[in-house]
Amino acid sequence: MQRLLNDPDDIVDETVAGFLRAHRDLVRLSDANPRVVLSHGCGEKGRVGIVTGGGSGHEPAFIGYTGRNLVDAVAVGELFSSPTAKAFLEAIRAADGGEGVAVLYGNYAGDNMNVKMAARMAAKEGIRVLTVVANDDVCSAPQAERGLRRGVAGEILMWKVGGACAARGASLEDVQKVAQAAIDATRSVGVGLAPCTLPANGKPNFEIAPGKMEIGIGHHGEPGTDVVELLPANDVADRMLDIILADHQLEAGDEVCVLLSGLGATPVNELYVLYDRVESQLETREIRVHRSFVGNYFTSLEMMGATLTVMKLDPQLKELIDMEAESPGLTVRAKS
Amino acid sequence: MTTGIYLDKSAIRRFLLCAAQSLEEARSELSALDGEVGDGDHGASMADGFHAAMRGFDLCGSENLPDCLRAAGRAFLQAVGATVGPLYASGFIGAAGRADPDGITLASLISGFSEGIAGRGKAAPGDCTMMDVWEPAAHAAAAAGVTDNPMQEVLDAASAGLEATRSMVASRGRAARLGSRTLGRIDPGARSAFVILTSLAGVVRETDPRE
Repeated sequence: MQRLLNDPDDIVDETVAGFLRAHRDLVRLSDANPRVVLSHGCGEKGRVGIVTGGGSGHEPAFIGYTGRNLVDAVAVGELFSSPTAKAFLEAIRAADGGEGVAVLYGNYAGDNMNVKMAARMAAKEGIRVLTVVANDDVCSAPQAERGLRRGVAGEILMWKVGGACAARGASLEDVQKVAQAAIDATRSVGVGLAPCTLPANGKPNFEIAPGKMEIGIGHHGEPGTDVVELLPANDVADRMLDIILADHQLEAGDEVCVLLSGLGATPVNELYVLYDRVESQLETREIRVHRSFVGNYFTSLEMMGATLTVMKLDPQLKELIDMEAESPGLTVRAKS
Repeated sequence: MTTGIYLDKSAIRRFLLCAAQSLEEARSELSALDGEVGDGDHGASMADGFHAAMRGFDLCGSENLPDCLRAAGRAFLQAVGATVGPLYASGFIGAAGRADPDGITLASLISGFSEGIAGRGKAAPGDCTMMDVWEPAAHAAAAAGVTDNPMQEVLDAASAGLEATRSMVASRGRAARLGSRTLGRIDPGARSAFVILTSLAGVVRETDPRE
């Protein structure tokens, strides 16, 4: 294992410490809980608060999306492991400015339980909490069981839309509605070329044979739908796009937002190679890319591979995606 | 009609201490098992969680057993995230709901944990989770006659449940993400549940006048 580590048990604390130093202009640590990161605007009166959280090892997710017009408070878990219910509760408390809090998170067993418990405790304190559970990962369950699908990089677009809606002064119910609409309009698919290693384990938690790739792989190495020969980049892009288009109602004339994220070890230039093909294939179908994000937005330690996320835009989602926002992981400037 | 084995507050305190120590000893074994199917932190979660639960129990400030068990559950939740944080916190609350002010029967203690965990996680035996140990253990404790050796029957049922996870494909919990990659492996959550029940057996042995 060739990694830059001190004591593997300290990795999350050290990640948060370095993150806070590097981005002190945008974020700070909660005084009440060392596993809660806050934006400087967190808890602003008269605005719905946006909370998320999840396991570490996906940086810049989740902490990197703390910022202006984005997420207000993030609960930080151990590597690939849900934060505590207490951390979610503290994030909710910090984000509440009197108008309630929307917890926008991904569909995983631990996160579901911890958010549910935190939301109940917050309600007892008089804080209104509504949730939206992201389930954009197409290959994790069939279309008919969409509720079982996991949340992956599509969460970023959900946070972007939810954060923008809250910044405009919308009610808690409206923020929930639009965040739900955002994730409903979003599909993602992942391909894995090589596995990742949790430092405390010291060895990969699954295998991908050399020369193979796994289609539909999850953000923690969850098995995909097919293990096939490693194809040229254009064929990989086509395969990913086909999976999304088979699951998504997209037609000629539609506009989309595309997010292509590396999983940690894939060179960024290869992401651009994939993206070139994705956008050109969308163009041949007369689907227009209104905005795109290409880079390491939602990683899985040093897994090799990428995820492709496509959100179908309507006028409302388009406006909210375009609203300016600033965070360590994502900056959006208004389109001129 | 007797109620079977009855554990007072000091016996429960010894159980928590013993479980915390046993989980500490099993820390690396549990983490290695978890490393095969999950994120390799199960040993740390369980050992840290039971140490925290014992501190919560001690610092509760009430003589009332249900209050102390609830405090232990809150402390577990404060210390541990993942899935086991909410699950064991709910187990402690479940046990609190079945306890008298000054004690609890063995069957109620195990059933309380089992039902609390099941209510939170919605897993059933066969899903390759800790419920493959807790549910048969609770069933055995409830079914054991007072003349039998109920704790041995609990351990036998728990052990069979643990071994059965080897031939299961996880359908719930974090290992469910790996599908058939879990085949042939003991579930780490089932293993830690067995460690906890073994600790309980040690306390029962020193408590039960028939042994």
